[in-house]
Amino acid sequence: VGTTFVTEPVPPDRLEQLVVTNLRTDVIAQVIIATLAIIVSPSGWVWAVWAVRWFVVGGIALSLRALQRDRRDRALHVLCGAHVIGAMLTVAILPEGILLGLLVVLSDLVLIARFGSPKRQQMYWWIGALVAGVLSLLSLQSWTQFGQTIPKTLLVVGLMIHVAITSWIVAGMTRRNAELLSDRAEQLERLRGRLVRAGDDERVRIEAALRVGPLADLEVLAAHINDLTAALDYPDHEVGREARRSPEAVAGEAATAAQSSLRSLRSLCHDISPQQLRQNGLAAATATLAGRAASIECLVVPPGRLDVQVESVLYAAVVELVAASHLTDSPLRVEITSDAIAVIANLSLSTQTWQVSPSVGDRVTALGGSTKPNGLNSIVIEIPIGHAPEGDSDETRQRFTSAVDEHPVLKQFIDASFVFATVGMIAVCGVWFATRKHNVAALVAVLLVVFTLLGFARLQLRKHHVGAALALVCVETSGASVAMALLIPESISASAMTAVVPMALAVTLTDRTILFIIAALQTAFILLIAALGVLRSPLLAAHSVPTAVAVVAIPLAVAGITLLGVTTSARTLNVLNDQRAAIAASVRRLVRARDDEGVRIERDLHDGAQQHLVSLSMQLRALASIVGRDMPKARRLAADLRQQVADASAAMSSLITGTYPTQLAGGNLAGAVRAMADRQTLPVTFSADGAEHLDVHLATNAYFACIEALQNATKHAGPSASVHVHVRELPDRLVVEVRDDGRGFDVAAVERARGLHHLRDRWEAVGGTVVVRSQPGSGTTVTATVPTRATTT
Amino acid sequence: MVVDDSPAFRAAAGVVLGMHDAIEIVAEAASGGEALDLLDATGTDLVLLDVNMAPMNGIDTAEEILSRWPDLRIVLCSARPRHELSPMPVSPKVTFVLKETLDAEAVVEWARRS
Repeated sequence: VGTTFVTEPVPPDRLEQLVVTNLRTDVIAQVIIATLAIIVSPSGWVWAVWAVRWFVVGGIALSLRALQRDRRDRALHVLCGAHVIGAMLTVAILPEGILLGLLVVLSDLVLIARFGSPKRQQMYWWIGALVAGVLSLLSLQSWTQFGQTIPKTLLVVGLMIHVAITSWIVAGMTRRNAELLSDRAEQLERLRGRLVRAGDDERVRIEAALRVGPLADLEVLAAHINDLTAALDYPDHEVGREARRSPEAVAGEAATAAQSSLRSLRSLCHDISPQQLRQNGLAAATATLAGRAASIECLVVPPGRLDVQVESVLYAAVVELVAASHLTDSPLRVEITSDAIAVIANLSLSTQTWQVSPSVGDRVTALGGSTKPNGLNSIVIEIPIGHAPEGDSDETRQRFTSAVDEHPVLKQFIDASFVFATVGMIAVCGVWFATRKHNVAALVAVLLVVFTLLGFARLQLRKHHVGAALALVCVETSGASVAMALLIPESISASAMTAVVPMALAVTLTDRTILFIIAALQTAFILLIAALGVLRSPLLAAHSVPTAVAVVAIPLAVAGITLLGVTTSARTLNVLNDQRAAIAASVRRLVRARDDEGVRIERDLHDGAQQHLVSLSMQLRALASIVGRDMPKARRLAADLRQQVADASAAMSSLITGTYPTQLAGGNLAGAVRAMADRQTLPVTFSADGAEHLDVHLATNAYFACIEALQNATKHAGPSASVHVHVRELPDRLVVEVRDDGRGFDVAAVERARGLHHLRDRWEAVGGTVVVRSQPGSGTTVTATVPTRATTT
Repeated sequence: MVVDDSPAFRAAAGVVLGMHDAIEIVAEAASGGEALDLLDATGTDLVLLDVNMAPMNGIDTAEEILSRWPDLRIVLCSARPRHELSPMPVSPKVTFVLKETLDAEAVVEWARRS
């Protein structure tokens, strides 16, 4: 599915940075531990732990070396392997280290979620969960006399600081991952906005070019033909204010005018969408450019055709740079390889740095490519060809919409928590029946509170109060874990892991303050649990539950919670990733829509205006040749030509209006839509409140959204349907409603329809929303709403 | 016979060529296929054939005509200059003219020469 299109590879130096930091802090920690151990009391197990940590440091160093040789997977394996073995040995020697061991495992899993190969991630998660379980099992042995060797307060403070730092790092990494993804989504959003705007600017440019070019030329031609008619009818009179000219001369002038307007129309067509490129491909089109100017050398061109959009953008870049090189009159070399890498080099020794224009750059980015300068005087444009075809598959779209509406990860988490709590409740009841211990009975009460909080969270989520639901989940997990640690000291590892989990959920929240508060609270809770656990050591001597229960249940719980936490965090990232992919797909569609629009205008011009001008030009030449020989025939032909010019002008005006109606330039959406409604084949009624002085960009978007909706209605509503368009300008938003009484359709089934996609792409790019309501047999209503302030500021 | 998918051009070509006494437009066709179907019935001597047509372009149509009616003369025409188009069949019976420079006198002269 198109979820991985526009992939920006993770810069490897980020992983290297992390590993280097890890190595540095671990070496410093070794020095501190050694110093403390010498000062306090050099007993055997402290030195054993110290030695084990050196083993870990060695592993990190090896991993760094693998990274420098560009073997990322191997580096990750070595790093995590060293951490896992180190943690197990440490906890076996010093069970009090359990929390640190668990956090190291968790941070490794977060690291893998970010940098590891996606195929193996599930396997990693299971291994991670297993390791967490084994660690907690190891920690259940009788704790050492560590607590007695140094002052208890110092121990608690030291442990708290260490736990705080580690969990802060875990949270920080998860958050950064999410931020990176949402930053990319934001970048894409901005790119989408720019693309839509550039498309509109292009329309305005074409409209102006058509008006001052072909349309004006046709008017001139009409004047010439009028002169000609006059000269033919009254050969002995003066023509206009000018001196008397022979009909032959006037016909010749008209023929020349037709010729020159044909030439300018051709060059305009070429600007809009080069036919050569479309029909014969990039190779031929670039070769033609090279043929036209001797200073271009076209070196390597792939055989066969590339993707149309890729060809089109590469060609635009070449044209741009050719124009730039004409200014300096320096030779240019273009190399295009079969994997859509264009190297455009200026062969002169000028020191000016080359760049493509922002609009071409945006199109390259939208296709998932990049442009970068390659040394002096040369540009490399790289566009991957093996991208997913469209990216607008059902799955992406659905996931995108639901992610925005319902926050599925939180929902899944709450559901999973229900299952966990139910299993826990059954187990606790069983243990209570067997032992009748009071602390176990108290756990039942804790679990009941957990159920209630989860229920409330689910309710809040249904009302779309994501923040409230998240807060309730945080209170539930933290409260439950502190209560567990208090009631059953053996469960310290499970409790600590539980408290970490909500952090993974919070990463999708855009409000960074809330994220910060949640992270701070969770860390505080972990500290509390750690303190409680340490104060109550040795653990198995606590005898709060039967040893067998603790040995079986606690590792299982820790493994389960670790798995839940990591998969939750991964799923959250997936949602962000899907959002990004959906916008990326929309961006790609916009590029294609713009290309298609260019092709459509060019084809209209080619089949319409150009054919008219060719015919006129031919006939004017023929007319010039018979003037004087066969006057009646010449008069008839001139009258005919007059009509033909009028037809051509009318066709051109309608093409111009279709490209960009004049009303829009003044922000008069209502006027433009009213004029368009009058031209439709279906009966279209129109009403408007205001919307006559809008922001031009907004008006343009709303207008073309209306066209999409109307075209959809024309295509699908059926021949007997009528359409009502209503435009309403409210103080803070603009609402466009297109309602038909036609056949209607099943919205869920036709969600894919391209027209609706185009409508959405355009509308979402200006921050709007589109709601389509329809049922088979009862018409369709498309309501598009956009905040007006967002676009005017 | 005038073969072009644009009605405007067919009409104009009719006007331009029809001015010469030696030329009579016996048929019009909107595509290469239609032209091939009509050729037998119409007693055509010369075909004015647009290069840029779909699905069968003028060049393919010209080759087909050359192989089936070797005596027929063909004037290929296009709004684009010759060097931008695919290579045309090499034969004394085939020539090329830029659409806007189409001239009845020149066509008749070439037809008589070849």
